[in-house]
Amino acid sequence: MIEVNHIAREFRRAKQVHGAFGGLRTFFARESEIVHAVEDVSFHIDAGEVVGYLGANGAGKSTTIKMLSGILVPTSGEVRVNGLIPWENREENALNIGVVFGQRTQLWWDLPLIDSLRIISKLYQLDTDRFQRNLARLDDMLGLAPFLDAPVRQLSLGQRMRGDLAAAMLYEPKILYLDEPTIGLDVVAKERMRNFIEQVNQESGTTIMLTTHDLADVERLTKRIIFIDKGRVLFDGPVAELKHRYSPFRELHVTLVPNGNEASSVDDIAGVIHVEATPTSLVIRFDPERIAVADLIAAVVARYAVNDLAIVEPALENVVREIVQSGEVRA
Amino acid sequence: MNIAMHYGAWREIARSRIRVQYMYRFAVILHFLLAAVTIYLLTVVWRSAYGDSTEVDGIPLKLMLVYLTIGNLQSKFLRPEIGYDIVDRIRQGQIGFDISRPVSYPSQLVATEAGLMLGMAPMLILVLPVAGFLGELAPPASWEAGIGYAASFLIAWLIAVELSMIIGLVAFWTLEMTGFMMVYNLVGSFATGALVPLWFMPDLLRQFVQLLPFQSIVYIPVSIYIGIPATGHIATALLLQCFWAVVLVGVIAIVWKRAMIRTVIQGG
Repeated sequence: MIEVNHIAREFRRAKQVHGAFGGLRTFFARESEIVHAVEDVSFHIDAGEVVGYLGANGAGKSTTIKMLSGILVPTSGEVRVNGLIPWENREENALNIGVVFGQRTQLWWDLPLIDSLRIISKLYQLDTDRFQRNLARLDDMLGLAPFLDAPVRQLSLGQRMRGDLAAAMLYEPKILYLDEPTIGLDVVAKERMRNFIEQVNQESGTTIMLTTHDLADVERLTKRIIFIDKGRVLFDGPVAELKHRYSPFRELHVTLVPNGNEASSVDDIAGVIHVEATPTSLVIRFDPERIAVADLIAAVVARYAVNDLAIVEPALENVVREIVQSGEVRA
Repeated sequence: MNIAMHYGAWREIARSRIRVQYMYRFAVILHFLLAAVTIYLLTVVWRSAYGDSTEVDGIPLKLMLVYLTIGNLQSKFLRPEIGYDIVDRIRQGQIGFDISRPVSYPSQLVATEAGLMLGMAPMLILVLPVAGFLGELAPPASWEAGIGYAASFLIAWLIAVELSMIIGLVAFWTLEMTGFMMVYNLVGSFATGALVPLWFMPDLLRQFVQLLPFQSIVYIPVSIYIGIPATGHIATALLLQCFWAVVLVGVIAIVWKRAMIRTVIQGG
């Protein structure tokens, strides 16, 4: 569905002269430097996939999305989206893709939301029936009705984002690019957004490429991530694999019955790597390849009076922090 | 590109532009108030310039005043806003949405501008009597002049839109247009002939202005209206306008193509 081969994009930026009369000297000097926003990115996304496109600020995520949607021409490399070269077939490509940028809106600022949606339905050649049907469905999923008649400039961020999602999905594109769709949203709004994305993917088979800094989005929605840094792909594969590379171990968090335990320990159990114990809790790090979770729990319950148990997965956030700081992915 | 397929989109864009325009009532009123003041001031100035003579260079005062009134009234309909729109959209990075639509951006802009003009049209009923009172109104010199003027006005509109679009598109390179717009507005009001008809300009200036497309916006249509068409004949005057309309389409095509290659969408 999306094929990207060795794309690169450079920008020319006027070099700023600092110091005395810096502004004036910049005006006359006109030296420019070249910035490599994307250096060498390749990947392949199949129809119906949901892929998380991750990386630090300035890693080149938005630049990639812009090239995929045809509004930016790469300096070199090849892109095919549903068989089309986006920037050469911009208008045809537009019918296949929906784009949501969390930081800006495609809606008409002064007009009521419903008017924006109507213009979009005409731009994408929907007949009245299909417009009404799709609008009803989107209203059902996103709860648009209460603010359909409000001018976009008066909407809250959460409402506006719902409006933007509706605008991007109104004409049922095959591909949806989401560039930080949950940025700035409250917990409830985020959850609604995620539900919508999940539903769209499952019901319509829409291929989704999602950039985000909220890793809860990724954990919830995607199985595969592509991680880029300084314009290059660092990792492309399942979320689970990335986590496993970083922390092959899991943790069992145990809450003990207060004053109900005599001194005991679990250090001796095979597969247990490390234990942090307090009088009321245990944090047991273990290797799931050497001991089954059920066996470990059975052993713990046999030795302690237990109030509560929880298995904790390694947090993707820690993994990502480590990648960004080190600039590489562990083998 | 399929015109029938895009027609619905253009119509909707034009309609929404009309709605937005009337949302900002004050701007609409101010727009015409400005036209009224301009007409009044020009009338006063030209009356005093004529002094006691009823005719200068074979142009009677009354004809001169009709020229100024019609010219400045119509230039309110021929002052496209898309140039500013484009610059705004480019600066804020919104242009990305505009150019990734299944309908070409230049055609969306023409539709926007059509909405703007059609939205203004009903205001004429209110404005005409005022303009007649402050300036001077008269019917076209003949029925040929009337028809010629109608055709010429439409081409003038097209040329004004094209020029505004070209100016706006330059922002793809410069990102900033304030200075450029100032020059354009100055040239725009002078070289169109809205303040001084071309026949009263010194020879050298007139010859220069005649080489530019601006005279097509005010001077050519209004001179047809008052019965002294710019090139001597209505038909050749219209042809000259058509020539510019086509040339500018070519310029837009080239600028647009280059702009799309070097597009930089602002912001992350």
